Amino acid sequence: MQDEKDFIRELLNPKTQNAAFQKLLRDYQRPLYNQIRNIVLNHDDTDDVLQNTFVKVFQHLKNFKGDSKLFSWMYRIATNEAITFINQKSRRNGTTSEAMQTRIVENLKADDYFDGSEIQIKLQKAIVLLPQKQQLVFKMRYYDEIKYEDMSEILGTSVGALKASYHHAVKKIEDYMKSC
Amino acid sequence: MDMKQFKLDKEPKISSGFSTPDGYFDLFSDTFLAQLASDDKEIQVLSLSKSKKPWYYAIAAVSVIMLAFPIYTKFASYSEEIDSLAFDNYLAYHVVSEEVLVDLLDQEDIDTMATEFNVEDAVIEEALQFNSNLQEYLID
Repeated sequence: MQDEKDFIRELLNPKTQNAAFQKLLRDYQRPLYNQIRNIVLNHDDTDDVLQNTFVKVFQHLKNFKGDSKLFSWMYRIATNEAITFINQKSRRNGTTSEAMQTRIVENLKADDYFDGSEIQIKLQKAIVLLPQKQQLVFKMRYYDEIKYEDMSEILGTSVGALKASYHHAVKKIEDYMKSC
Repeated sequence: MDMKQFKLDKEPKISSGFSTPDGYFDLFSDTFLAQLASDDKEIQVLSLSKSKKPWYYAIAAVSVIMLAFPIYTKFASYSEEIDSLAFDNYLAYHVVSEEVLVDLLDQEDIDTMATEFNVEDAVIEEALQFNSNLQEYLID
């Protein structure tokens, strides 16, 4: 935690800010990209949201209270930005975010930045049938292997509820995979 | 893979299948920082031009203030505008629960919603079936 406090000090100090922010980008661009991509599904949209996320991080770092880990705070911003993005995009297209995500998953084979196999497509199709928050819990746990304690800080949900949600998600996914 | 016996935790991990353009992460930080620097330049405050007769502007400013002041004092009302940065920061820190949202509604709003959202029992049951917090609600 002391390392993190020192790092935040470097991020806020104009003399060390540039180097510190480059390190922040290097360390967190992939995990935040994955988190956002899990929600918006499309690479180009993910790139936009990722940039917006880091802008928000840059702008609000001085207000970061340190009552959670830095990465949990950034993950929370990324998650909020991604959810806001798909909600706004779906509204502009006159549809729901669920319908939009379903359509994207149905067309994954045609996506230039998806090189998955049939089983990977099948799993994505199973996941998109889950309720929104359950999708997020499942993806964060299964794909990104985020600890429940960290997930609890990011999503503002108790560890017990997250474990229950993941357990339900796994059961539904397994039933779907067996049925096809 | 035998799908009839499919068990997620027993099978080899299935990755998402998502990929990125070549070199995306290598270039991201440089591209982003360059964009950030260019955005900063665009929002620089324009400095006032150096006029040979700045007193013209001073007179105009004073006149506007003198004219506007009585209008302002008569019609000014206190309005609490949320600073957008503070609001974004609030969203980053807080998850607004459904309980909070319900507390913000008065009875008239709730009655209106009850009329507008005439939800059938079957729809409610389906929504509860997929609610990951169902067990918590049942315990309560």
